[in-house]
Amino acid sequence: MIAESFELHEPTSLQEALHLAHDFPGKFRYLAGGTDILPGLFRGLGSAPHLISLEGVPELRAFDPEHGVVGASTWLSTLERDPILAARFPALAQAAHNVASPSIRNSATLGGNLLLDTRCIFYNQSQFWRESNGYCLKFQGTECQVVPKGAKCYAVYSGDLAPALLALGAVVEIAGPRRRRQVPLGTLFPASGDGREPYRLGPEEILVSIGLPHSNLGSAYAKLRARGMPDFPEAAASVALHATDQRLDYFRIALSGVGSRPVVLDELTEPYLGHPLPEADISKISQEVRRWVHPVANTHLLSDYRQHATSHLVRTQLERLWNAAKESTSGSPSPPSSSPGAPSKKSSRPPRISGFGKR
Amino acid sequence: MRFRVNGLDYDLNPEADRLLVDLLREGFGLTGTKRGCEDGSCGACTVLVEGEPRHACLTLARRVSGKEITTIEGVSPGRLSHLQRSLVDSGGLQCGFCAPGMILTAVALLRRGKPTRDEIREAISGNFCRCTGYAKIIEAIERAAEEGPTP
Repeated sequence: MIAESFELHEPTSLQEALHLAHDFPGKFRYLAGGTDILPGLFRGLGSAPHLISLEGVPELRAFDPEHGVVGASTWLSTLERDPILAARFPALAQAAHNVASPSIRNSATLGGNLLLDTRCIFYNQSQFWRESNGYCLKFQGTECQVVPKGAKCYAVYSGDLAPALLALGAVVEIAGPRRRRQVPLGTLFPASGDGREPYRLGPEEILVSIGLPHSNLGSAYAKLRARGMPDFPEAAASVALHATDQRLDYFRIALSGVGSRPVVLDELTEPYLGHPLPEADISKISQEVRRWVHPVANTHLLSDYRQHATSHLVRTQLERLWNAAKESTSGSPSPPSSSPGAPSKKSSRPPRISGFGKR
Repeated sequence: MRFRVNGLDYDLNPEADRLLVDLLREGFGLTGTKRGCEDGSCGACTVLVEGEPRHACLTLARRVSGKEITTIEGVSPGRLSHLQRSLVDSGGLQCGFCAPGMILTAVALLRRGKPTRDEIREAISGNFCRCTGYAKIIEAIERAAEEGPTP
């Protein structure tokens, strides 16, 4: 059923995987859980004569929720079931739990979900369907079917984990042929916001792990989807915050499923740092969220509804998280726990990570 | 490569692009594993790999070599398990296309202990049934859970 045959490579180390990638420039794809790449290959969405499976690479299997380090090959089912992770990084556990269906989560990985291809109702179709329809800007065609005069592709970034990880201030470790680097997760998602470029990584680079520097944030994730279970988000929001003496000292909102890249709304949230979050502000923020959300008609639900839902998802999380944060710190002037990288009281910027990658 | 299917070992060398669902159906003649949506939505191809439900249509055969694979044929050979009996008795079985995947998902769930109704709904949420409306299936799994952990 796979349109084009391929060779499967099963390296057992990161070096071997990188060497294999180097041997087949432009002709390979890395394969993690395969739950999105394989259906794509069945439908002729691109070709990959060489699939390099990362399953046997032990470096990608790190799992240390105590210190906020999760390897890219970690199954989503591990993320949703681990009690330490759920206690320290609730948004990540909730996001993992909300991906697809339980059996998919037994194969799908953190790295695969982060580096998910963008989706569109005119793209995720069979070869026959797309050919009959004249193809589209994302693949094989010259015109966008959603915004016909549009110069960019509007395919939607639909990863569930990205908004949670962005809200939590995650850093990613990336291995390339010559060096390893650590960057804030947000830098992987290009500002162009073009659906043809779902993420920005060097051709041979491999996502090794993520690091979560703040273990004491209140955080949550919620999504809108067409059915109760197996669907990608039609809109998704994650909120992470922390308050000391009833004043916010960490506050982030990130969205997914409403544009071609996940977005972090620091511009919206930063003015609230150092202040409490009364009901009036919660209303104002959830209203203003709409200014960053302009979905087009390329998923199953109406774009207006998706925009409205985003605002609602933010509002409900803000109410719940602020109430919890307010109570947990009332009468307790002590700064956040002394875990490495805990949010600094003074800085409005998420602090730099420490310790990550030095295990 | 060694494959362990329903408790028996086989030495095989499937092509790199051979899917587990095809290996099972065409290579082993185990046609209880169904090919449905081919994109991971419907769950008709569900098998157990090391006791956990996986989609055989999204799994390259080579990647499960050496692992314990259970298909519907291996659940209760030659007779109905009490879960299967319960599905029949409750009216949780109509056309039968979803049944193998549904049963294997329920087997994995029941092995973990007695589930709540919400846990049953959650567990089978990736297994589509277009006949029953699910109510009878959920009842059947609840009833089987009463009878013990090994369905």
